[in-house]
Amino acid sequence: MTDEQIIGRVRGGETRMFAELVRRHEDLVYGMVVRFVGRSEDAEDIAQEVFLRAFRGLDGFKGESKFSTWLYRVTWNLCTDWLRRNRRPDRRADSVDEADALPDKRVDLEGGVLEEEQRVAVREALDRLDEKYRSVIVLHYYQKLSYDQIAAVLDMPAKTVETRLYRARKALRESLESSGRGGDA
Amino acid sequence: MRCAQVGPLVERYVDGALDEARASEVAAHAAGCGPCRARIAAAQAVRDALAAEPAIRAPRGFSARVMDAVYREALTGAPFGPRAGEPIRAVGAGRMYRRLGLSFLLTAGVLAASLLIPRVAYPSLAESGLSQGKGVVVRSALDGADTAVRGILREQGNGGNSR
Repeated sequence: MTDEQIIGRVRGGETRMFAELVRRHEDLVYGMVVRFVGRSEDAEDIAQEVFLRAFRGLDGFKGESKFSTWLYRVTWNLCTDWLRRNRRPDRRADSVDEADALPDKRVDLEGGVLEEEQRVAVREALDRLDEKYRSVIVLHYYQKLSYDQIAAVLDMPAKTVETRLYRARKALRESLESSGRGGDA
Repeated sequence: MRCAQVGPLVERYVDGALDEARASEVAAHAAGCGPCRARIAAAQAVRDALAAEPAIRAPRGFSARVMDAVYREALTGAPFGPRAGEPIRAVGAGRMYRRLGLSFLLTAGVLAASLLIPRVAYPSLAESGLSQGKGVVVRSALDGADTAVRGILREQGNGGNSR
């Protein structure tokens, strides 16, 4: 059953069907919230509020984009609003711990350890990036959204998304180079 | 091609997003330039690290907690008011209890009125001989209203003043 078919049934009064939508998208929504606001107690509240907003706003969902894209937009709006009100320098420190705690099949060899160190270095550099660059990196590389999806979420042309992604990666590279962790060549 | 020209192209080069001629120029320059080879290696390392980032999973029981909140909201008659994308406001609980309080007050008001109006409107009837054993029908009606009110209050968890 597609998301759109489920939405039709929820609109028809089958509230319990909304649970299926939540199960399908909970990791993506929660993951995005943690990437943006950190693993604070607020992260689950915000993610929960995303789904409540979605439930209340289902009548307004016209199907012009995928449900997941629409849901991402709701998530992005709530995250940016939260960040505006709660911005603090160490806000994402916990998100690194969160990702570190996950089982990772790549870290089982010596090369894998180096790879993990590199990932941590990139995450730290990412945390220092300007929000407009960080957002496109998170959405594209961590949340696996296409340029077009990011463009819909952030309400900007896909070409701008592409340009920002390259500038963001260049900024990350330069940040790593200046800290002496830019690669082994 | 000089180093300054290679710099802005490095990320596109490692993605294979440059046209063939441009890519060849970058490769030719990098072959004889240590710093630019290092830049290319760094760009590859960044791209690989980003692509290898593990996914984050929602906490256990998250969907159940969301559905609890959805049902609470549906049951307390929340209007389909704030639309998706509006700024976040106080989350859930406060609003819910205010709504519960309002609906309880309305219910209690209606029940109290149904209990008091017969006594106030027809005091002579309630205090008359009818209420002293002769007016069985009127007394039963008044007692029935009392019982109904207490029963509903008990069901609402008010504790009532049940006898």
